Amino acid sequence: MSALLEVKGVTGGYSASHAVIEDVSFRIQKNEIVALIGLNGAGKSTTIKHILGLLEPQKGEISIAGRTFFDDPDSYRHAYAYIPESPIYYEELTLWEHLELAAMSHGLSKEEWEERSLPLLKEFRMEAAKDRFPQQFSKGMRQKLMIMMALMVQPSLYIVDEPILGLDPLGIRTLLTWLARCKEQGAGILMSTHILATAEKYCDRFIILHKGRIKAQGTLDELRQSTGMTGHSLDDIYLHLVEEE
Amino acid sequence: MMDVDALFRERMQRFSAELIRYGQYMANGGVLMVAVFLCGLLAYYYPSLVQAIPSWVPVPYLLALVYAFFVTKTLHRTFLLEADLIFLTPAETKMDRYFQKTQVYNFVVQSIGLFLILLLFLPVYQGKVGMTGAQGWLYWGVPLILKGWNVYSSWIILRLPDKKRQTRYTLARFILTYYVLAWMLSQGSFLAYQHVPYGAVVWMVLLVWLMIRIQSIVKRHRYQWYSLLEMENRLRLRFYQIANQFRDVPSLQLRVKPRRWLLWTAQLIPYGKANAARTLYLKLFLRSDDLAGIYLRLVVISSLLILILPGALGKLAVIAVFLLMSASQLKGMGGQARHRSQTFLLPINEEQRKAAAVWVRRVLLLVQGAVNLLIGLAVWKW
Repeated sequence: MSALLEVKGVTGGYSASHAVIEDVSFRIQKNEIVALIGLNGAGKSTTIKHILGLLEPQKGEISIAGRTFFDDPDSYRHAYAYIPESPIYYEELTLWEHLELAAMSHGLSKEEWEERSLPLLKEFRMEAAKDRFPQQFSKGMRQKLMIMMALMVQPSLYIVDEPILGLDPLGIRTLLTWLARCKEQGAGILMSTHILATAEKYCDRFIILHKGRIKAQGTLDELRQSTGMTGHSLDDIYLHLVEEE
Repeated sequence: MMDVDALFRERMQRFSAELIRYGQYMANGGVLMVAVFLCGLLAYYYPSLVQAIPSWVPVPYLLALVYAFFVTKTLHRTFLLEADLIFLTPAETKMDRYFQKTQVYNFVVQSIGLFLILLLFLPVYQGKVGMTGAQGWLYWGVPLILKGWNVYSSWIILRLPDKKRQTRYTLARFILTYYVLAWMLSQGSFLAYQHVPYGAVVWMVLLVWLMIRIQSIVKRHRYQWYSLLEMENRLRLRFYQIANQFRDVPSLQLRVKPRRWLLWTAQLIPYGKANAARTLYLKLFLRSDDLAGIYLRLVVISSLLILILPGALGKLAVIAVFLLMSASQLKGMGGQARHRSQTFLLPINEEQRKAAAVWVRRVLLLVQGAVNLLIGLAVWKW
């Protein structure tokens, strides 16, 4: 069985002469949440842009459910939902219209759209903002708009970039429980984050990216074994790994 | 030591460089041709329109109202930047010289606009009231002097922190301006009995009161930096919005209007994956401040012209020219730089986007043509 997401030996970046990430390989299977961890500038966002099909790898290949971006760009883009680090939205559309258009463009029926989006509005306590424009929102509310758009589509793969920053504590809890539920239902989730305590609690595996290369990857136990740091937290292991040099 | 003269020169250079840059695009945009065409059309029908004004209309007083509006409406560009609130405020007392220069700038620019208004209505005044001898000098000179006084006094009134009080003083300026203009245009018969202008007594009292108040405002209040900056930003945005009709302005902040009364049109498009791009582009258009605003104005103006102009040929020419104008305005739709970052927010590919933009454009032109045609047929003498 092919993995949900497979990144195979990817080298790439914004220009051909200067590679930001080098020989990055990992897989994400169904029913798991994988954390992508790294310092500022480690290459997390570059990796994610390659997965989204916004950057073209210089070497290597990325496939979602066995298909690359070049095989079929449209179905590749439909296969995932992306929650960006800084919210992207149309100033001209209200919150509800964003949800409607996301539903339309992903091919959801009208009934599915209403069935899924109303509970989301309630859970993220955004019902009052339904007909307002995101320009009047705070950063956290815009982030919630991005999250709701992604969760409503219910894809098999979620790519989540730093979801926690800017969210209020209730929003964080709602997001994480919702993602855990998606995982139970068979989705795979790649989540980039700085907040290691949260990652340790919610993620099944960890990919530690450092200076554009994968420094280590595996479950917490596997990381403990390979570093010989039995009983240590993810925080300790991570700091140990990046401070080695 | 801060050199406010150099600062003003630098700000003016920056602005004129932008003006020249966007001015070139505007001149190349075909708008000049349309303007010449419209002026020709106006010149052709103008005399008969002037003749059609019934004799009971008090032309001098109405013209005074129009002129007084443009003379009193005084906006102050200051070329201030956001960072000035931090860097220039320490030199606040030296800024007087700088602001004197911006006042001269504003006077010159607004006088040009005023001159064009005076020119536009000159045939009406000549045809209905008549102009002889010194009256010609007064017709041009008095409004410009009043403009100068309005620039000076409104600048001081801007020091008031309270917007309500500002409005009261603006009203006083308007009344003072209107009285002089009406008196001049009616050749001395406004609020006068046997050529003695009794209205002038009231006018003098109001003027003295206003000048005393203005002196006390200067003593009591300093510059309102935030409202000055806000006005500057608003005026700059307006300039960019005009320029944006011809060329994408990168620094343009997008303004959105909810326009709930137009939303039903977007709801005519049925729900479905195939219609996602069309719904998106129609809504982007309906909510846009610039594009939809211009389109609606073009539809209204063309319809009015069709109502006014006699003869089928004139009407047809208006329909054709305004359709061309709308088409050239709507050409930029969907291509704006600001939409580029959102392309991966929704899984709609490039072809679908382009096709949807073309579709929305066609629908809008069709609607405009249909509205024009219906109005043309309604007023046609069968």
